[in-house]
Amino acid sequence: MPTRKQSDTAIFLCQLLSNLYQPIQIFRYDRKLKTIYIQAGSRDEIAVIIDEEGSWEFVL
Amino acid sequence: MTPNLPQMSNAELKQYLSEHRNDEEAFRAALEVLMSRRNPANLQPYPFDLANPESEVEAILREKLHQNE
Repeated sequence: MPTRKQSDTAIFLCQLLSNLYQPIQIFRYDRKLKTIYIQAGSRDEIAVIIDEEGSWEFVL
Repeated sequence: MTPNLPQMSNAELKQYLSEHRNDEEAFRAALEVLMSRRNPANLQPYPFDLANPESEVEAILREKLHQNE
């Protein structure tokens, strides 16, 4: 399961992407890597990972 | 045939993740490669530690979207 902070960040980022009318193309939590991956944007311009501390970063 | 993930560009990895979203092992292998390329300087803090999470993070996302226009 994602951590609470990780979940908070994921919900927050998804809502902001929605505010900006950006489609969310991929949403995955990897149990082994304990990482959330989100790919978003009409042309997949955004790819972020969210770690267990709720910190996040663009990987592209 | 297993592709050589470490030799792929980030854009190719993103495409690979998209195509293998329901293949847990392939997805994880590609995500691990992307994670190994992380730059600690790019790390953004937990949003709720910011003074104005919504406006600050929205500005970061807007900038990223405009970069790619």
